[in-house]
Amino acid sequence: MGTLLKYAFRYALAASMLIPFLWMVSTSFKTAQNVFEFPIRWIPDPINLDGYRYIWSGSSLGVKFVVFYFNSFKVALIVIAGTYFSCSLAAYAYSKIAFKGRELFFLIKISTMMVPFQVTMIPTFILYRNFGLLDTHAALWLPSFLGSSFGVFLLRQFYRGIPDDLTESARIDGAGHLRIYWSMILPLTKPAMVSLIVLTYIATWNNYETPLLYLRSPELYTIPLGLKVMVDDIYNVNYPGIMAGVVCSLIPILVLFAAAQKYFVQGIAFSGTKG
Amino acid sequence: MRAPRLLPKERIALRLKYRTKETIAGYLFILPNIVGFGVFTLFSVLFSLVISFTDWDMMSSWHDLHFIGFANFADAFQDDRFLASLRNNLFFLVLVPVQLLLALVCAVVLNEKFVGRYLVRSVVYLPYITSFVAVSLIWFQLLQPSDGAVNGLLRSIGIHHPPGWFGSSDWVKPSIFMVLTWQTLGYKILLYLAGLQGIPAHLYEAAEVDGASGWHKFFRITVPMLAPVTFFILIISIIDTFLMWSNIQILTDGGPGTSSTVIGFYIYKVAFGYSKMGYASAMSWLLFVLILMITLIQWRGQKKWVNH
Repeated sequence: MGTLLKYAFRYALAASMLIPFLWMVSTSFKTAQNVFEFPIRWIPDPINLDGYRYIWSGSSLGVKFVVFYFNSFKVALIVIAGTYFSCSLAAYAYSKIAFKGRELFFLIKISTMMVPFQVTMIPTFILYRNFGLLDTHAALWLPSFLGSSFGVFLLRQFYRGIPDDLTESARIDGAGHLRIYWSMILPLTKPAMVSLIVLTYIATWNNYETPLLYLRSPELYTIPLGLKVMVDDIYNVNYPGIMAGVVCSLIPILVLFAAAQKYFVQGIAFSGTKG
Repeated sequence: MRAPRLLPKERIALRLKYRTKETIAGYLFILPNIVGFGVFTLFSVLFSLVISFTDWDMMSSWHDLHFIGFANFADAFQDDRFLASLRNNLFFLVLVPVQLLLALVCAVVLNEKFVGRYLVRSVVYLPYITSFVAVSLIWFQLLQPSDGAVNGLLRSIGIHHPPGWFGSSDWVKPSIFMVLTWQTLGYKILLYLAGLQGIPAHLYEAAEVDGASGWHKFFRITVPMLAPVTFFILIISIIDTFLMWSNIQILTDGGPGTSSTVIGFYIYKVAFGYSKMGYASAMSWLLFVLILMITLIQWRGQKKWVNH
């Protein structure tokens, strides 16, 4: 391929990814009448803030959109704490403690990844119903405290990179596992920690499935479900409002991505190529 | 200070004590994992298996549970909507290699040094970090048949009858495929880029000394060296295709008719739309077996086709 052709290809690829987002931002500043103008007016005239006003103070299903925002942050933070706590402890055991049945338990843990969501969906629903967890945020964050296979796998790979000599000599000097975990492993594997946190945050913030299955009360909805419900209200579709909502839902993700892109890439590349 | 001399018996006892302590510590560290496995996997899998042999509808009490043998499983193969889902799944499977090829070409072209390299790469991941709800809301409007921007563009270049996209049973699957490809391409490119970085430069240098052309290097070095990554993405994509449900629910709700229903989505619909928990569980087990088979092929295939 010629150099020119390659350049054209690269920029065309970037443009095809970027243009829908630019259209989204542009639409969020339009008036309801101007949304479907063609040819597309990229810089709206007049610039209209009704969409953002709607997101900030208007309500859908009797709930202010900002509530969805707050719910998303709350759930994401708890899930991050839970995932990191359970995955790092387990990954430490699977890589640094020589206990009976270690390989077997790890194999079982990893093989749970093969069970399709559809198989566990109904029993989990029943379980939550019987424990009164339906329609609570706990239904969204509870499993994270029990460790995701992906997180355990990712962290274990990193922890194995720390020489056993180091941890074993600490053992001989009388350090307990908790101490080694806390003051040796955790500080030495900060990049892995950031990778897992970034990936967990993005996944939780964007999660639509679990809230859809377990939440009923609109005041508990997280952003993706809130957005979807806005669109389903077909008699009252507010396109600029929806696009303003999409823009607002993206901002925290973009900020995080810009700040920690290296770790995002590392986490994915690591889990994908060392599998 | 010298360690006190121990008798062999004492030494064994000490070592045993140490090993027991280690084992207890290990179990304590993985305790949340064990509980999670017990509740969310072991219990769920067994529960699902049991109700797959019943006609349970979630409302009726446990006392009226009717065991109906393999009827649910047999029903699936008589069920037009289940069979339509299977066919639709096959359509999406056939298109997986298209995604792979596209991702490979993009990765190779983005791997070279060029002006704006880092910016272009970041932009490519953008759809992947965006929620699927957001992605589908954007594309749903862009692809509106009557007044969406894409059809506006097509009309302006002389296509008077542009596709009906999500509203047409002929175009709905290609539309979904396009949107899914748009969203996940960045992820696949990322994996390929990581794979490309793992290819030792001396292989290319040696080929250049032998006078190999660019195409030759691509097909003789790049493609074979990337085989493990290709294989990984292939398996992941196949499994994702079978598990697909929320994106279908958001985009088309399976329609028009059954033209975009896939197995994963149909199971969700049967369970939470029609409350036929027994039937849904039976189909989820069929899906489970299918995925187990794919995974087995992966294990065997990795040994055979992929040289690490």
